[in-house]
Amino acid sequence: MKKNQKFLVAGIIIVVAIIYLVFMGVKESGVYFMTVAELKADHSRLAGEGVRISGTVIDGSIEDDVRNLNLNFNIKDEDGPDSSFVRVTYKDVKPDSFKPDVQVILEGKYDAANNLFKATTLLVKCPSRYEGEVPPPDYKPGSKVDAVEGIKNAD
Amino acid sequence: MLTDLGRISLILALPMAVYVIAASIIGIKKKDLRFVVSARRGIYAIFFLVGFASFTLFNAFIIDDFSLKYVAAYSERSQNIHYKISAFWGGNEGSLLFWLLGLTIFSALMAFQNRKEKNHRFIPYTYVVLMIIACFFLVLTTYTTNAFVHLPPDYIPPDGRGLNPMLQTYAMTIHPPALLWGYVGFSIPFAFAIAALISRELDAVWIKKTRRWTLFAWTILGAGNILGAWWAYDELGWGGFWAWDPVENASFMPWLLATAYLHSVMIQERRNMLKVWNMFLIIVIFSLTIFGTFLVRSGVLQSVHDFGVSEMGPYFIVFMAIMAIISFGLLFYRFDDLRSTNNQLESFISRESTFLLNNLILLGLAFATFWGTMFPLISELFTGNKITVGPPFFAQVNTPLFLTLLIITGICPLIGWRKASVDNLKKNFILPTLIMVITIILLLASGMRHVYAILSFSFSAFVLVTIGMEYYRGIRARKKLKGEGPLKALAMLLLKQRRRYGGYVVHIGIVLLFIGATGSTVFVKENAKSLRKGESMKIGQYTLTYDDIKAREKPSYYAVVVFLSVFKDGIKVDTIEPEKRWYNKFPEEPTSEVALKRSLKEDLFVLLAGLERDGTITVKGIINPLINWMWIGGIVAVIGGLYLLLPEGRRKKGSSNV
Repeated sequence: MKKNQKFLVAGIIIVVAIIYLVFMGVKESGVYFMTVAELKADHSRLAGEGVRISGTVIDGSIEDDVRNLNLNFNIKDEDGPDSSFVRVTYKDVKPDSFKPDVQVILEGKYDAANNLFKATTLLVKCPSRYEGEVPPPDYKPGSKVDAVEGIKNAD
Repeated sequence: MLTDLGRISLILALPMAVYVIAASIIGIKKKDLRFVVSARRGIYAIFFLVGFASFTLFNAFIIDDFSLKYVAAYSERSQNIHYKISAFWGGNEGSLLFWLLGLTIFSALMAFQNRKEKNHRFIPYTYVVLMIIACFFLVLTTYTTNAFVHLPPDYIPPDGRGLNPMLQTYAMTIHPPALLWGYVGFSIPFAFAIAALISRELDAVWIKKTRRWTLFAWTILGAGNILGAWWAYDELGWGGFWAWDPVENASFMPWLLATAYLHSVMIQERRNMLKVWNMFLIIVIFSLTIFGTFLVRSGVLQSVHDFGVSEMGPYFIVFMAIMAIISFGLLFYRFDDLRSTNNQLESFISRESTFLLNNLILLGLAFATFWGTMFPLISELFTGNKITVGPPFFAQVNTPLFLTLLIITGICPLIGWRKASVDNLKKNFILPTLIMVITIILLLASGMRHVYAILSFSFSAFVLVTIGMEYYRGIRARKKLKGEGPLKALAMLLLKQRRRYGGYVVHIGIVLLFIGATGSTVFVKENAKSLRKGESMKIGQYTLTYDDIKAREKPSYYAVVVFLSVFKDGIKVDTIEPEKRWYNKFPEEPTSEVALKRSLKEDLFVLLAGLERDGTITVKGIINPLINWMWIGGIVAVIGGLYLLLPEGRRKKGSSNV
């Protein structure tokens, strides 16, 4: 075998190994990405596997038990009806930007019988986050936040 | 108005760029140097036109000219001067203009560097390539994403909205320009590569001429990535530094391939081999820089941090397609010229083959990262189902590749070019292998069972020992030959054989980065708890006690600060003050200021995650072992890269070729 051919064979072995790694990676950690409607219609396909979903947090549905770090809320598709929702439960710290009507991306498992989504990760998608907006001409800055009752100033 | 002049100046740059392209081509065809000289002056002129336009925008930020929509959207009166300046690249329009500014500066510098170059026909072709890229960005910045839009007089606000508070950090002032100009920097070697292909001057001249440009782009793109990681860790408050988000991956992929390219061009320089491969790499790198610029703004992929969706997508796709077709078409067309006939690889055990392996692994990393990033699109296209892969995919696939890369970093310098002898191998490998084995035994004895972590740490030990040996030998040789003391010998090594010993400095930085990344991803401990005043929580050997809560009123924000006592093994060691801020202009988006207790061993990272009206707080604490070695490693690598960039000054010929 010529030397260059030897190198070619070695190279091909490495390339195949890398492709195999990628293939196994996708197979083992790939999850479906669904909308709320797709999840409700198609959950049988998941067979208990994890799934990633996105949706809008429905105003008025948030129950936040801070003491036990237990956040519950409903989500729906952005353009879907309020009636088609999934109940989400998330037992971790609530992100700063979490509030009614934001878009969230969740990962976790869906319990179809109880229409309950047990989320392990919660990301708030905020497309306007770094997008500047021009304030209106009559804009008055500094609506003071009243965060905590009876709090004293530090300095 | 000054900004109107700026806008006009930008509009004029486009026909000027077209002129440069035409003059260069005429100059080449008619073999008339006067046209080439005129084209070069045209490039200088474009630099002045775009430079002036950018200056007027900078100025608008500094003088608070809120009649400009872009300024009103990203700046405010009370903003610090350096945040006013960095607001320039805070948004889509400005960051594209900044891209263009970089390109015109680099093009002018390149043209100036090579102004006396008459031996190589390919120089005018580089003008053509660079100005085609410039035309694309000129069209974008003048027509689709114009930063110079004025607000109607009735709508001019008394004050701007201000830069998003999350972006008001030092890392964020430097991260975007480093990344953007890192991207832009690769346009120069790309232009030379295409010029070499067209002119058929396919030896290593174009590579030598662009070596420093490549290194420059590689260094600042790397610095940009590290700063992004630093910012994510310090500011975003989730405790990590890298999430394999599409936006992060977009800037990581060209850097990986540029690392491969920096190594593979050495083989072309020395052995006149791998010509096709190097062409292929630089074309892909350039494509990825445009792709990265595009991905951040496209809204194509779900990312947590991107610009808003804009309508420039089709422009980018068409531009990328055209550039890729032309470049790869040329590569194919010149394929026979590029194939090196006389040289071939001689042995598996040679410097060349370790470089090849390094290239394959880096390409594999870039491919895996690309595949994982694009998989939602790919799967939807072929199966109709959107399937995503997250951080677990990248951890699973990239970790073994990274580890292979790490060990090659150690092996490579020990093996000579062409073919290494068995004696040479024995002599070189005994000590590092011994230290590696001892490291493994010590780690196992200390109770560590994580295979990848053990490999990472012991490989790091191996690499550091090999680098140490290299320095030791160099110093010893100088001592013998010139009778220099060890410190002077070290300094002389770094001065006289910069490429080799400076390169090792970069390697040391990368190894430290590996150590930090391993520690802070594998051995993280975290705990979150809701606390009332006086209550405590545990993380690792630390205990945090909630002592007090107070408010801080500042001109631009209102903050709530909580005071937590830190006990380590029962002894009070510190008081930390994580806070939550409500900026006046962004009251809907509170931001968290993390409290960090840094040390070389570990960081204690404490986040005020939640806050109730009755003063109950939620605290999240994370212990990140070794994470500061990441930043130290990053700094060392960047310093090494910058050192390699310094002008070489007067030096005897040939002394640099080791």
